[in-house]
Amino acid sequence: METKAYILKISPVIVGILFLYTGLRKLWEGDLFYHTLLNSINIKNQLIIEGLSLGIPIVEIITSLTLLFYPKKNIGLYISLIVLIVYSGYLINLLFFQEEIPCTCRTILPLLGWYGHLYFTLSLFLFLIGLLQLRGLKIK
Amino acid sequence: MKSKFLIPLLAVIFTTAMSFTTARTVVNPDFDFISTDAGVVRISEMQCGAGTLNCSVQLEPNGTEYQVFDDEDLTVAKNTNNPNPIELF
Repeated sequence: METKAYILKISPVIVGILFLYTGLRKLWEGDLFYHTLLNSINIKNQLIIEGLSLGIPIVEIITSLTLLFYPKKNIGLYISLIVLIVYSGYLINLLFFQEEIPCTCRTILPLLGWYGHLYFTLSLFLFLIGLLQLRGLKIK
Repeated sequence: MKSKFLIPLLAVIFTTAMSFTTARTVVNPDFDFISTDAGVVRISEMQCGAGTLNCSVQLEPNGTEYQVFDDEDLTVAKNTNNPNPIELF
């Protein structure tokens, strides 16, 4: 198998692992994620925050399962792109438009810090675009 | 055909185990921690912000600066942009 074929086969698995890891960890650390959302976005309705703290990990897990098991990998890659756009928007809002930033204890990759998270997310976004270019943009 | 199912399945098992073992359920979102001569001391949550510098606090004027951590095990240091310590006096 040539290198390109390996990349095309393994990359969705790696991205899937990443999404599954972040989703599951948000579920295990449910109360911490809930507090992060409560402190970092301007929504004070507890019901919405509770919904988001449960809904976001579920979306991430569904994304990962699509990437790992669903035969049409591009659907998973497109969902990943949408999730990353939303997450990047959240990080940009947090870092550049909020007065206070919640502590790093509730981030998924704590050693990176918030700016590290933003760079990581944007890098992953570019990686996914490159991957979609390699695979072809059609859903297959 | 086997690898199409087996590799993702192994990935799921591996990732589930990893996420479970690395989840930090002991982190309390209302407190931070510093290491003093008297041992680890719990302080209230500091708003350090983000940055590349270590976040630190001072307990008395011209006193020792203590680095701020998120967890009691002092493994997750907090970062800041502010070069000055937060004064807790």
